Amino acid sequence: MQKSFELQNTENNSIQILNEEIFEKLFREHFKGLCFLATRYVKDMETAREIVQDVFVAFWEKRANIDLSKSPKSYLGTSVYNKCLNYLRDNRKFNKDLLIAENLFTDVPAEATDVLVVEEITKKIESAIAELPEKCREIFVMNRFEQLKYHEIAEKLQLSVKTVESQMSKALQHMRLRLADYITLLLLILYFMKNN
Amino acid sequence: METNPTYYNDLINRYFSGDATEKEAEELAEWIKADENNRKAFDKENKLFQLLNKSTIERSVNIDDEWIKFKTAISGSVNSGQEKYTLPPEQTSRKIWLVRALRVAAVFVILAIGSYFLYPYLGKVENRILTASNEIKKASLPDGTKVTLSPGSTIMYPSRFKEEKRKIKLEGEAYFEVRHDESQPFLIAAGNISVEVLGTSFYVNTNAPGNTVEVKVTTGKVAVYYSDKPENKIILTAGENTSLSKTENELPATENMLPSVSEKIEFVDQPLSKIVTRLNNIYNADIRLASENLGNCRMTAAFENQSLASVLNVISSTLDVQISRKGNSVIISGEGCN
Repeated sequence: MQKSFELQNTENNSIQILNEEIFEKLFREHFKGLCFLATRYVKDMETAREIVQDVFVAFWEKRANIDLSKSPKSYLGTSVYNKCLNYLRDNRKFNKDLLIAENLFTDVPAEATDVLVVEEITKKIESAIAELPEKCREIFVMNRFEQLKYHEIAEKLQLSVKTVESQMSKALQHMRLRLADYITLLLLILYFMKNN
Repeated sequence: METNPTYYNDLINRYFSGDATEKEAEELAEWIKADENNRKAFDKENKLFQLLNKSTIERSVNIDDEWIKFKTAISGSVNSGQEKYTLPPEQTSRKIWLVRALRVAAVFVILAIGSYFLYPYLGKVENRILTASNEIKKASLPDGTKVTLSPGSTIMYPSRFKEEKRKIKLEGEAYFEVRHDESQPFLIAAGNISVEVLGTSFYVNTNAPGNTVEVKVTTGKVAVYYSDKPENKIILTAGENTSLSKTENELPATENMLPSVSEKIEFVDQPLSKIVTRLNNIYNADIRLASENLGNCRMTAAFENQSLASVLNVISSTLDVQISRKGNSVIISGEGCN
């Protein structure tokens, strides 16, 4: 799917070299989606961001040699995929069974959010979060949006990790209920894709 | 396999939050393979976390910042061969050790901080003195009660309220917001006069004109009495006030008085002036109106064997007037009527 960064082949059919302007377009279009992809693997947003940054840097440095008639998106996706697996292996977080269960190990998964409209989910999530009781919401926001780990939250709020865990459980349960429709949709797509 | 119903749920949540250990991940994988339902539960959580992550990325990833970061990375001599985010193996174990050490340190810090807060509850009770010199002073007492001292006023209180009542001494003027505690009444000793409260906001002046102690209640309920005769109390509620003479020993004899004649008292559209006259007769009281046009206010009410205090309460809420006591008199004040 090559959309905004139309790489024109010249009359000579030679591969055009990326200039910074086009590269920036690529960057802006794909960065978030690749972050999302990386997060699915490494379960940590900061690490995911770093991986994606490195992928783009490597991409930039190799730009003269890349065959851009192929989709840069799939090139970038493969690159992120490989870097993520390396990260998991190097940090003893690689579990093949779980990656298979998450559908992350077979083909390179597409950025599975093409189908969903981002603004809509965000609003739904925000309103679901607002419905949470105060302490529960505070803990949830700290974990999901400030990227704090359970023990960090426990220290900050002077609670036990078990308490944080059970509050997160409650919050996630609530989110699951409120986002049930979207989850069903995602699951349907997943099974549909599997069976094709 | 664990039988605790939330165990696997918590495990899944930990996994998707990046908090699961290697062993826990293996355990989770086994559990998923064991039963199709487990697999489905896992799928559901997977989707939920995907949605949440998508939303988080939308919120927290600033593309402009990231582009600047990128440009910075490619402008310098970046050695992109080295994967900066992956720790070489020997550093990994050192990092884990460091994290563990930090965790232990954190526990000690929490304990240390915790005992600092506990400290007021341990050890001997000391007497504290708080004086406001030429400025208003605000403070919190050991039970959380807030006190605002007027300049030149002093309170004396213990570091811990462990007696039957929360007792403090006051000289001067102060405004109190007493924390509610029915099991331990709050007591202010102002010379030979005591002011006792449960939970309320009120004002005490021990240097009121006429050598009196004045108490005004904002919210809640306050009992005022001479310290040696606690059974004779004046009960003040919100909006009421009283002045007690420091030299006398008798309460203004109006508060809990009952009618001398046990009859039903009825007013039908009567002006306050007439009502006051009648009440003075019935209760042998000295009720006065602060301004003449108050006498024109009319009301309708009926009382049967009520204390003067109750009657005054009804009058004050019906006509929106203030009741106060000066010595043996009761003063009714407020906006008059035509």
